[in-house]
Formats: sequence, structure tokens, C-alpha cells
Amino acid sequence: MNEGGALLERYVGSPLYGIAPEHGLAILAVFGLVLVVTTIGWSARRGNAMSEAVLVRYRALGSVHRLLVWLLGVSGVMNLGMAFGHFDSGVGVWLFIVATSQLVAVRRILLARSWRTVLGILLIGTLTVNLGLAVAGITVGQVGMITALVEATALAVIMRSVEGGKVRRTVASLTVIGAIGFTTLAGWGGAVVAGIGGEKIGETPLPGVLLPVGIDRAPTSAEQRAARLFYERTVAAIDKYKDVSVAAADGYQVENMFGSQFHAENPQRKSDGIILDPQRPEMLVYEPTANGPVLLGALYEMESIGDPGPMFAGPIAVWHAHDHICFGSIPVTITGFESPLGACPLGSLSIPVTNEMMHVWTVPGVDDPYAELDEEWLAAYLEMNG
Amino acid sequence: MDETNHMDEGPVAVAGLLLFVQAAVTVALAVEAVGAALIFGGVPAFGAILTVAGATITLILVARLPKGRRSTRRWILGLQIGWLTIGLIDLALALGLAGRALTPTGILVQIVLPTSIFWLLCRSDARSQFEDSEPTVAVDEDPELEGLWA
Repeated sequence: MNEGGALLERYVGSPLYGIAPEHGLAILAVFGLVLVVTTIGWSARRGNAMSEAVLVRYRALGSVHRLLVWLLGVSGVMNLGMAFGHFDSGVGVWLFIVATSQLVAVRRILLARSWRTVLGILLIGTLTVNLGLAVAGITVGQVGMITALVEATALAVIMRSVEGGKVRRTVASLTVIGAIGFTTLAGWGGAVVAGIGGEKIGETPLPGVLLPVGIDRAPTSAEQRAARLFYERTVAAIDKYKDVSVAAADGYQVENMFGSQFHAENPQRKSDGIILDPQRPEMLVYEPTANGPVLLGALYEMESIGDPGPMFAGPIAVWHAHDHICFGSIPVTITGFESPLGACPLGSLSIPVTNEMMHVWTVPGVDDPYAELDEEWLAAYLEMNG
Repeated sequence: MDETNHMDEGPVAVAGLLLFVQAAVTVALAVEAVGAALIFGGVPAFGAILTVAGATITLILVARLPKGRRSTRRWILGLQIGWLTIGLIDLALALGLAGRALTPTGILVQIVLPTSIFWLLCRSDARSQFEDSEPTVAVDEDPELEGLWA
């Protein structure tokens, strides 16, 4: 059942794919810019000398210069908007400086004054600082990414006009490619730092994960008992699937296992109208090893996107969904998560949201069977148990 | 002093700049795709290979665009149609499954950028800057010699 916009309001996702509240002013600023430009055009037609002068200077520019003026104007006002959103921190001060510099550069371009070198240094610096912000755990977010892309395009205008030999032009081109690469890295970095460890109700998750909104709390004794009983039943019910041939006979797709924590689907059980049955989990999770696959646990999945999973054990067994998953067609498999640049690998489609699901880890010794499996613990377990 | 009097101007120049940005974006996507292929055990390798190929082709087209060949223009337009097709499918999925549009960066990269490049190269003042890659046979255009070679 898809409730449209209300569906996503039920979840907390990574700030990488969202618009932070403190960045709302940046979006308004762009509309403000359009309004200002429209006003200049209108007043110029009514004989305002200053507006006419601006219009004359703009029309005297070639199309590439006009593009540069717009790119700097948009990024300048967006940085200004973000500066006001971060007014109580050093980030706000930096953004204000950047915004002012970019808008001053617009003026210099319109006045046909020199601007290239300083602006080039400024843009490279701005795009590099994004990486520093990411390391500090500040997620760039969608507004930050848009601004960075606009700035990178402005940088491309500057770098593509570099004269000189092939080496110099190649370095200039690589600078732009590197700037976009830095920007992408900044997007991932900030999102990962912000989302590490986020797996409980209301916490900020890693990119690609959706958690239910709410406030985490201590479980009741009834919830603890329910969680323990369900775990024990799952362990007992899927023990037979340690033998993959038994799993295959029951309809689990255990061929061609790859990677880590391979999810073996059972198409029939995904649409049998039964959920949370330890005898009929929708997926099994295996770890492919040199000595054969090791059963890690089960995955229970709701049948339709938007259907909330039953919170039978309260905050202990938290259902999650995934968003911005990239799916390729050859073969039909996950190819990654949607880039901070807003696209998937070529030939892949972006799935905006999946059904809700819940893991139950049955591998002996796991600390919390309902939490994310710790990779280091798993590696140590596999090494000890051959 | 305007430091960029030497910059090429016109719709083809603007399209070239935007195409270069698209190439840079595709390079970044290629790096991410290779990383994902390594993490997911090599099965998504086809997507990574396709993205690397796409980045390479786009960079080649960026280099060839100034030469003004019609074949280059056709390739670029075909590439934009590919981007727009995937973008519109993604938009349909987002609207159908989640009731929302693409992310702002998705709209910019998958819809606005390819649409802009496509529109710029389809303008009449841009089309006139491209010529066939085959050399023109001058005698064919001489009215006095017309028909003699038939």
C-alpha cells in the first residue's frame, strides 16, 4: 500500500538524500535571485538607469560568460542562504565569505574586470573545504551538493578557458574532475560519519537505510520476552538450512552466492500472505566462505512497500527499509546506492524505497540478534570456526 | 581587463562545457560503481564496466565536439537521450513507489543537464556549426559538370 508522501514521513533517512531545515533559506534565496533579476529587467524597460546599465553589460557578454554569471549568482545566493542557516558556527562565517566573493565576482565579470585567477582559487578551495566538513561529520546534504555542482560547473568554465599546451589543459580538466570527485567523497563521508551506529528508532542511519521515526526507549519485560522467544524459534526453525541443499529444496535461491552476507530470497514465501513465521522466513542470510556457505540468520520482510512491520518486541526488533538502492539489469542485482550526485551506475535504476524488513541473526555468540551484524566480530567468528 | 576574451562563445561552447561536467560526473559514478562492484563481490561488475565505458565515451565526445562533426553531435544527442530515459524512469519509480520526485541532485544531473545539452545542440545556430565527416566532392557541386559523373 503506497500512501505517497505520507509514506516517507514515517521514516528517518540519511541526510545525504534530504534537505536540512537550516538549508531551506538557500532554496528561497534562489527564488529571490530570480525575482531580483526579473525586477531589474522590468525596471530597465521602464527607464531605470542603473538597471539599464546592468542589462547592457549582461547583454554584452557572450553566452559562456552569461552562463558563468548565472552559475556564480546561484551558488552565491545559495551559499548566502546556507550561511544564515549556520549563522551560529564557523561554517556560517566561511559560507558568508564564499558567497560574498562569488557575488563580487559576478560584478567584476559584468564590469569586464579580471576575475579568473582569484575565482579559480576560491572555487577549488570551496570544493575542497566540503571534504573537510565531511570529516567533521557535517553532512553536505542535497542543497550543499547542488551548490557544489554549480560551483564545479563554474570551475569548468574557468578551467576550460586555460590556454597553453596539452599538459596544461589536461591538468585544468583533471582539476574539475577532481573537484567533482572531492565533492562526491564529501557527500559520502559526511553521511557515513553521521549515520554510523544508527539502527534504533529515530536514529540517523547510514545512506540507503530508512528507520522508523520516534524516540528510542527501554523495552518492557514483555517485549524482552517476546524478542527472546522469537529468536529461539527462529534459531530452531532455520537450523536445517545450514545445509544449502535443504534451503534450495524449500525454494531459497542459494545459487551463485557472492560478496558478504548474501541474501537468499524465497520468491514464494515473499508473497504467501504470511509474515513473521520462523518456519517460513522470506530470506536466509549466508556468508560465502572457502569451506562453503555459513548460515548467519533469517530476514523477515513485509509483502508491500509502505506496510509497517509489527513491533512485537518494541524497540528491540526494529524494522527498517532501504531507499535510493541502485538495481542493474544485467544481471538483476544491487549495483550500489544512489550517488550524492543523484544518479546510479549507468544502466541501473534507482529504487526509491523497499519493503520493510528485519534481520534475526542466529549465528552462535552474536551479541544482539536484532541489530546490525558487526563485520569485525563476524570475521573473527569465521576465522575461529573454519 | 577581461581575461577570457579568448573563450569560445555560442551554444556549442556552452553545450561543450556542460558535456564536460557530465563527463566529470560520469567519471565519479564510474569510481563509485567500481567500488560497489568490489564490495558486492563482483556481480555488479557489468554496471561498473558500463559506467567506465560511458565516462570514456563522454570524455572522447568532449574532445571531439570542437571539431564540429555531425557524427559527434549525433552521438552526444544519443547519450543525452540515454540519460533522460533513465532519469524519467527513475522519476516514474520515485513518484509511483514513494510519492515523491527525484532528489534535487537527481533532477539536476539526470533531467536538467541532459535536457540543456540536447536543447543547445538542437538549436539552429548550433546545428549550422556541424558538418558531415565525409569530405565534400567539389565537382559534384559544379553545375557545369553536373550529371557528367552519373
